[in-house]
Amino acid sequence: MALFAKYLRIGSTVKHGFQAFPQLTTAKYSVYPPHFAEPVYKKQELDKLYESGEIENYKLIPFKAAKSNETCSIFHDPMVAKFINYMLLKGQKKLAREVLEKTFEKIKKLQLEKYNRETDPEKKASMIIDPVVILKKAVANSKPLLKLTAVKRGGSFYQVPVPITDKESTFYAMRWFVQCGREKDKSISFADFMATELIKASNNDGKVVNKKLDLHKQCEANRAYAHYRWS
Amino acid sequence: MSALQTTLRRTTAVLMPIGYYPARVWCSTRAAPTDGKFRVLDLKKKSFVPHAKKKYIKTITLPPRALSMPVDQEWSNVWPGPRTFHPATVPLALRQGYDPKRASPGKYGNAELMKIPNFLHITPPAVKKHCSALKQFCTEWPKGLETDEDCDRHFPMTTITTDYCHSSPTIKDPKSRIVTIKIKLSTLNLDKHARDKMIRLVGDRYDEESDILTIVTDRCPTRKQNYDYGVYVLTALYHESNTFEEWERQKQEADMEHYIWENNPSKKAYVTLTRWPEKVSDDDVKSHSIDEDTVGQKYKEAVTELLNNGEDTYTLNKYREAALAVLLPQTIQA
Amino acid sequence: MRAYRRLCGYATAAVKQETQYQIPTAARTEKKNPVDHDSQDVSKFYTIDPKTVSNIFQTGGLPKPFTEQTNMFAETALMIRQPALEVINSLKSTDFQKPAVRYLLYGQTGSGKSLSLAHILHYAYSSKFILYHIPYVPIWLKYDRKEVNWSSSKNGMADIPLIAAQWLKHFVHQNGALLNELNLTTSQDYVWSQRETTPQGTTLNELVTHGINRAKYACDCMDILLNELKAHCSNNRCKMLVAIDGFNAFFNEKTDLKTEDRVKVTPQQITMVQTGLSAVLSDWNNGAIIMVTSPRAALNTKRESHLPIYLIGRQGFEHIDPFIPVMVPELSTVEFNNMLDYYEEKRWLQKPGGRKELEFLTSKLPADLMARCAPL
Repeated sequence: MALFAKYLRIGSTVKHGFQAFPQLTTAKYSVYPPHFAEPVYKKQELDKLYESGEIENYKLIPFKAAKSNETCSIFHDPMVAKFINYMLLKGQKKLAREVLEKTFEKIKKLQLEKYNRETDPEKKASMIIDPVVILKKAVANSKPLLKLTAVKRGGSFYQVPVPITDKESTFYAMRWFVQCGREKDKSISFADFMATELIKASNNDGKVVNKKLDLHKQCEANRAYAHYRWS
Repeated sequence: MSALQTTLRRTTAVLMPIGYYPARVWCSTRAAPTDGKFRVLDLKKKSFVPHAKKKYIKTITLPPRALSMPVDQEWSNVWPGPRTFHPATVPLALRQGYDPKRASPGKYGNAELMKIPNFLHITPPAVKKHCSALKQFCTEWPKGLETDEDCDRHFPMTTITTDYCHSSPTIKDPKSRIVTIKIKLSTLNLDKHARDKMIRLVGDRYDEESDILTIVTDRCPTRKQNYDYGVYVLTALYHESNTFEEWERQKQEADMEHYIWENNPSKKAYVTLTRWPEKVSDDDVKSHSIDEDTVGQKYKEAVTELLNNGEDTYTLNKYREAALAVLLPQTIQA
Repeated sequence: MRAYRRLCGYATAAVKQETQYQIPTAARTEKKNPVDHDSQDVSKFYTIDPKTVSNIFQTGGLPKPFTEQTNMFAETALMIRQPALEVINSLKSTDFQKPAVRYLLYGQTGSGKSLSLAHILHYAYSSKFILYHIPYVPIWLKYDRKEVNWSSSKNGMADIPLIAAQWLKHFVHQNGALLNELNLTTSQDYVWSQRETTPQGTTLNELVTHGINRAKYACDCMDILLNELKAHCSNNRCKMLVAIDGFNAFFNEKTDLKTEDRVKVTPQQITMVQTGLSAVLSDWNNGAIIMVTSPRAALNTKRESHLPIYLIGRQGFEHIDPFIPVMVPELSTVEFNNMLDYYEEKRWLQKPGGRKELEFLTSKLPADLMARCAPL
């Protein structure tokens, strides 16, 4: 049992490595049967449904319950919520949320400093202070286009570049941020580190973007093996 | 099959006399079908005769009586005395108990309903019947005690005792000696000093909201003794609070139960303020009167209310108005 | 269907394309001197000169989150609110020949008491009052400091020399220039030890410098300074404003301080506390006393109510009776909207709208609002 667990852990954390028993990775089972629809919890989207008349399609379908962090507040953003979930450790959602809030505050401080020092009106207008916009831009800049998977050919495993879906790509981008945060120097707080990292990534700079570029380079280097995908 | 055979078939168990272990002796007629032939010993059980299935004789039961009860029946005839709950007799759709997955169980086969005491034999019409039967043995309710207030006025003291029932060898319970005496302090006609002294003497036994003094005695072995002791305590308290001892003169401001402005630093502060810049001594403070001083009187009222009734927005605002009048009279005029 | 939708506040017809959102500007007033502020300026912001800010508040007086905010926004802007204006108007119209009037600012945590006090201090500074300002009493009493000595001059009382010296520096920073102008001097000799005396006629600035240099005598110096100032004010030579934030900490049951012989001291046993308590007595004129009580200055276990007499106790009430209690309420709707306009103008609040939500979550307390707008 412990042996299986060891393999499972290997399978789930090491990206470019060995997937020894892929069929043993944990699959998620939903509490809801497949015909349940996702809840619409934003007032604006609900209004749109009513106006376009699409609401008639949804009237007789059962809906899943909305999660407790999905609110109709205008301050709620699904990408931010996802990022908090990635930062989550040991189920301490409150701590993760507070850390992200501190991060946003620090981003605002840093950007405001630059904004107040800037004299050129054009540059001033184009400067982004909104931390959510910076987060989105940072994630967009660090999304990889391909990933490497291990394909077994003739006794050995080759790292083959393979396209990935948008969802998976966003997942990698966000997770890299959190992973770099966990590897940071102990003297800097997570919020400080994340703030600087996000700002750098939104300017196409920093550790995470470099990680993405490294991955792209490796994919480029291994493009000879690309046809292994179709064995 | 003949009736004899059926009866014989039913007698399957016969107990041996004492000394032998009880064994089942089978009737010889039970072994094989009787069709006149000689019964051959069949050790290998070649001819298998299955036992005839025991016929389940369904007893015919009538529907529950509760379904056909007229609405205007005499309930005391249906349920004359205390009885364990019987679902078919009680025409109520009752549910009692807890099932984590389903609704509470219904009345049929419900042990919970049978366990709890029911008072179906003392419904109001039944009580009325009992009362009218007992009335011939009763005397009239005394005149002058029609309302509760009259009863309280004539009988201010309440004595509470408890009796206990036992079905064990002893019918006595030590708890039955406990006597509780309750009395309202307003009935004792105490003056201010006596009332304050009484409340300090009894401590927790006095309830401010209901003005009831409760004395619980259990130090004597019998109830009568405890009652006499309780009455004695009450008498002693009454006389003691009415007397004024010499050492009571030593009561200081910190011991006071109410705030009296005259004796407190607040008055000194006010007098100092009004007579500023002269120096003010304690005698000056004592002799200073605020009879003509409306501002001072308002201030005194405000401070007393603030400290006696507790602090909240109303008392604070009242104090504020009074303090403004004292400290900044020019703003009031403006 | 439409009626239902109207009832729930949903759109009943197609929503028009919204025009570009205009970032609002906060309502401000140009009057930089609090002497000119009047009731028409309520809910507006006014900025304080950086020079004045450093003169009054450099060594304490503004809450830390607020100073961080001023660094970010590159300006110190205070909102003019009713309680501060009320006290300022009273100060303008008091009869200074009568004994010093006592005001007590009270309110919930985060309702803006310290900043109201800052506004009043600015007024007093511009009106040439001497500021006897204790920035926040728990700083004296809360932390377990290493240097708590038994006082040599007062029996049974403890001294905190370094803290007293720090306070004297604060006093000199705020009032040094004014004291030089007024040229106030000591009225008698003060003997510190066999070799050290401060003769009659030394300026108060020198007295304070002596206290800063010789921290051992700093607490006594504080006491002497107070007495001298009271005497001068009573002789119509100057005006003084006593401002104490966290006043109810004087009446706490215990402190965190311990002497070298590991004896825990209560607030009443500390000389500086006694000095502070004598400062709020009304035995002098030509001045005013402003105290602020805050639940945060009380012990952890005694914070159930924000009302003043609960916090200072019967003893405290009798000490400062009679006084004028001034409540600092939550922001009114106009003030609340103006505050949010200010945050949006300064690019602090990035998401417009959602004001009702913020109103509900913060119950319009300004400090809570500041904390809640931080990540938004």
